[in-house]
Amino acid sequence: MSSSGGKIVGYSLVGFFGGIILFVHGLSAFRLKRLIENTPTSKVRSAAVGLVEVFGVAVPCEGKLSSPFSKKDCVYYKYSIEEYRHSGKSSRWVTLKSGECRSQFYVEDDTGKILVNPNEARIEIPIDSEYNSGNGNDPPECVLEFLSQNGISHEGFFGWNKRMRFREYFIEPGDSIYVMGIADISQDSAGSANGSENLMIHKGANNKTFYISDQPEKKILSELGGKILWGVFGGAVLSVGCLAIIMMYFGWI
Amino acid sequence: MSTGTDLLLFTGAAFVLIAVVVYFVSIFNGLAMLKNNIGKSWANIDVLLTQRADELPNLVSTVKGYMAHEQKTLQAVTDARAALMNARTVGEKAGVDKDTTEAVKTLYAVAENYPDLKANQSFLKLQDRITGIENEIADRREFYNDSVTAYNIRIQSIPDIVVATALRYRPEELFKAEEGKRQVVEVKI
Repeated sequence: MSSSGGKIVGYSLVGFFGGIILFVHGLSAFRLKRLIENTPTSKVRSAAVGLVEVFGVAVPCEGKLSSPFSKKDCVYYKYSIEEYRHSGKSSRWVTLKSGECRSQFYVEDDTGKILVNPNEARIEIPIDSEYNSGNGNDPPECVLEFLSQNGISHEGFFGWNKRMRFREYFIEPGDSIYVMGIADISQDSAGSANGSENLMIHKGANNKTFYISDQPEKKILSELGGKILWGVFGGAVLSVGCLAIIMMYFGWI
Repeated sequence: MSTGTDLLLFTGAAFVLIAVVVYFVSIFNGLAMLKNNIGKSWANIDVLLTQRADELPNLVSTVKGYMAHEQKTLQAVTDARAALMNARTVGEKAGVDKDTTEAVKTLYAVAENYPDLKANQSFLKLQDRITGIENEIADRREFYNDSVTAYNIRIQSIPDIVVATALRYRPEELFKAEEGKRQVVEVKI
């Protein structure tokens, strides 16, 4: 097998298995979409034990967190520091450091508030702030402070800035928030003024669905629709296509 | 056809088959979940209806001493409670729930004319408790009706109708008072 032939087979194999992974993700998105469609949104006051879907605003519970770069008050944050690296003819973003912090918070609607323990939740929120550095472009002060605290250098040879990007995702107090998870009796909760005062939404032992987003339900469903289309159809086409390339290469078809 | 082409066709067919199986399993599970949701949300309403019905005799006995001349108002609350206890179907319960809410509202309005009653702590506590229960009933009724609507739409849509027909799923009743079904059972206090 020649070097270029080996590459074709290698990439096709990656494509084949990547397609299967995409396909499985598409089916998983389909399952979640159906579950969201089938579960009506509960008012917090009338939330009952079991799978619930609530929509309201995030309210801090046990002290606020502070986002790592922009120092915004929040109840959840996630960040990543990436560097753009060249390797031969190819180049890609490499993650140097990433992390997240979750704290319990309340979801409040016009009928009350209910405690949410976001541990193990699938949290999908868009990027809230992104900073970049590169030639002639220093990272902002807030990012420099974080980099020096964590021993990460933004400078390369001769003190030139590396091409880097710094992304931050967070849920601020007052952000609209959608939560689907298992409501259960909890000792920790004591904030709701109404029937949900003893409940906490968390990841259930049997039902694994625990999803948090700062988008309204309609937008979540539309985004999941896109994922299903790309995952199920795109994944299947990619896998079969890559398999066809491998077979053609070996002359099996 | 070569073995390679067969394998390719087999792989393509496997993807299609898996997608179709997952799709129909999700329809089946979705319908089962919707049906269970209806049962669960109805049970949650029923609990609250019972809790409110349990509080009504306390309310009547608390206000009776102050509102001796308001027999008609008190009778309406008692009648509504009795009708609630006798109601069996969702439609019947929805009808008498509305009657009960109206009877209690009238009682609160009449109570405004009795300053001593308005200052009575037991009455105020009961009023708060019953109002809280009624608010919860309203929220849960909305949730129940949303569940029923989602289910009824699903079982009449293609392709869910195929699975629903095979499972003999029938449309469910909304928690909504229908004029023809509203009836008040007369009970003497």
